[in-house]
Amino acid sequence: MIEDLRDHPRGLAVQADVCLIGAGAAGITIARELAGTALRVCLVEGGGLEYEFAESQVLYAGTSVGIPMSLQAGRLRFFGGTTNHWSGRCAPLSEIDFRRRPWIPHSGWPLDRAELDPYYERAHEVAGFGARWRSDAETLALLKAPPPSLNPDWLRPFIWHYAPAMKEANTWRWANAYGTLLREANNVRTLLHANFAEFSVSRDRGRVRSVTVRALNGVAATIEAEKYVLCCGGIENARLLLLESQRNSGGFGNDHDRVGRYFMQHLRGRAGLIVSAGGMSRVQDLFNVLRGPDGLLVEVGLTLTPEIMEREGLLNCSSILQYQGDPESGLTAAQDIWRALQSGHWPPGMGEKVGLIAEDVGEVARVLEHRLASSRTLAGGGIPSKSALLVVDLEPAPDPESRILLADDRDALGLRRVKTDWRYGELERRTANRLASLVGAEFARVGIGRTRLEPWLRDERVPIVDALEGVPHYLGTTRMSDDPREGVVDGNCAVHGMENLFVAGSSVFATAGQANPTLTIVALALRLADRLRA
Amino acid sequence: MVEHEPALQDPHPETLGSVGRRDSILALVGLCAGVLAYASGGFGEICSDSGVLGDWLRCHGASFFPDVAALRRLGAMYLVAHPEERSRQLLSRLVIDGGDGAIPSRLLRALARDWSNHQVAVVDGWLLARTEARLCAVLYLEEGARA
Repeated sequence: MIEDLRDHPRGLAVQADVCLIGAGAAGITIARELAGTALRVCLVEGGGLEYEFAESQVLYAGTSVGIPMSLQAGRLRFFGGTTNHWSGRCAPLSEIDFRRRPWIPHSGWPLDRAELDPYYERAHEVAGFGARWRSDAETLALLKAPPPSLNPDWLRPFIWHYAPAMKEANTWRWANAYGTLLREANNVRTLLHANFAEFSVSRDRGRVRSVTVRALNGVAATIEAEKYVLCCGGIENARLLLLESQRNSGGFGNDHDRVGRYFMQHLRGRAGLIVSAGGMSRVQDLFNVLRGPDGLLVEVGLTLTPEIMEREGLLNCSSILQYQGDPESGLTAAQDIWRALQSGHWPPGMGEKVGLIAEDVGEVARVLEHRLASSRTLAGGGIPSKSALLVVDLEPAPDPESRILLADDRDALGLRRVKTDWRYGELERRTANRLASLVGAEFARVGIGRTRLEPWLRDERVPIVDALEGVPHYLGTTRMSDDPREGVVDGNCAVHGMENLFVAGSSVFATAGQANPTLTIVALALRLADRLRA
Repeated sequence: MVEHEPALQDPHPETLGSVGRRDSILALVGLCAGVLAYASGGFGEICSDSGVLGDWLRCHGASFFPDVAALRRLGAMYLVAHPEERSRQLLSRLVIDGGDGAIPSRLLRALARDWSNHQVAVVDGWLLARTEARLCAVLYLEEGARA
């Protein structure tokens, strides 16, 4: 059942076996797994069923004192959480991401990729792929676009899979996919507009006895459960643990001052421009966003091999190509007009564009006929291009000084707001430089095109923060480690020193990898659900 | 002993200006295409003496490199970063050293070797095989010698 806490003016007292705090990818996935079992589950969500800025989203406001970043872009405070604007781009973390890498301080998870593999299999189902998830090798074979013979000791293809569209959205939405299941589940009680207020703990601070949640109209509920799971995302999980650790003078995984530290975001930047006199057609049908034979989109890029990362002390990383149209070609003009009309606008410079199309009418007709007849997407690479931006995605290095803190000001619930001190450094620049240089050299060697690197990669005086932007994946703030001096949760996502408090979501990532995090969030949530159910 | 050549002009990158995308790609593609064309038999007999790369460039450069001016600018910039190589004699030896055969086929082998070993130079942002960059520098110095 799904209820609104505001509809219970006298408040509520709820008894449950498991209390899940936060209804995003992790919280809903665990609730889905526990639905229909003998366990009584209470899922609390601070927002409602729709986006509400003043009533909910505003509670995510905070300040940034490190590298400037958005505290809102990657967080949505309503049922479904950030999956409500998820791109659907999925890939598992690589085997090397879980390893302790001596060249990356604080790297290493207390579990390996093989431990997570069965949960990735199940995560494909939860993320909407079902049996349509294919291995990288199978996907490449099905695309029928032979990869250029790049040096396999340096580079290899990397594949992202896009989750399928739903009737209600252009990709998978947890709220749409599992809302009905949770509404109809007899053992799952979902409370909306139920914002975390405080935990009540045992005298020794080793056990959570209850959690109080509160609506902005003052209505409160107390949930007494056997086990509690924070599923509030990479920033809020840390904030709530910091608040409680401070209020209780310790505990909550912060006895070694680890909560909030190692804050990471994936980094993305333009690394170079690849130009080709003969056109990029040799790679445009491979390194692109493509529609596979089963109708799902996949994206193919390049990543460094684990061997070169290890040999040269580099972070994980990947690159994609973003193709550019020739601004003076009729094809680009046709695409501009098409896109403008699709979005309901009259394209600027229509007369000039029509003139360009007239000059290239044969080519435009040929390409449009070819592209419209094929199942390939027109996005990005549909039009043959002579140049492409080389874009890199970088794993950030874990840094204990990059952190989530509590600000002095308070939100509408009286809780201290969040303050971020986000940092990253030169290893990220060196990794990007090496990746771009190897891609550029290999593309030159096999005759695809020539690469001009961006200034930030060739001049260390160019500030890296001007070149890279954070992809709003908030990671690492309650990191996983079997050593409480190094992390906040153990290998089972249990908060160190607490009997019955767990954390789910990207905050437990010990390292970030370069892949989008949602599939791993779901895999870890499934693994935790199994432990909660046991 | 290597004799270093005097600069033709102040080869500071800021005074040289940047080599544009269109200029460079045409020049670089031309460089490789020219060598490849020769290697596949598209050109007639040329000088094969490794000691006279400069002569060979003077004789055949225009045929092989359609935008020599852009390549010279890249060469000047390369020498700013590598002043120790400012010598036609040294550069000629570095560019075509090793192996037998005519200059183009030796250049071709050197280019392939550079890419395979990731022996590259970044000049004005452009990622060049080390041999390409040195060849550009030879072109630049040849221009100075002729002036």
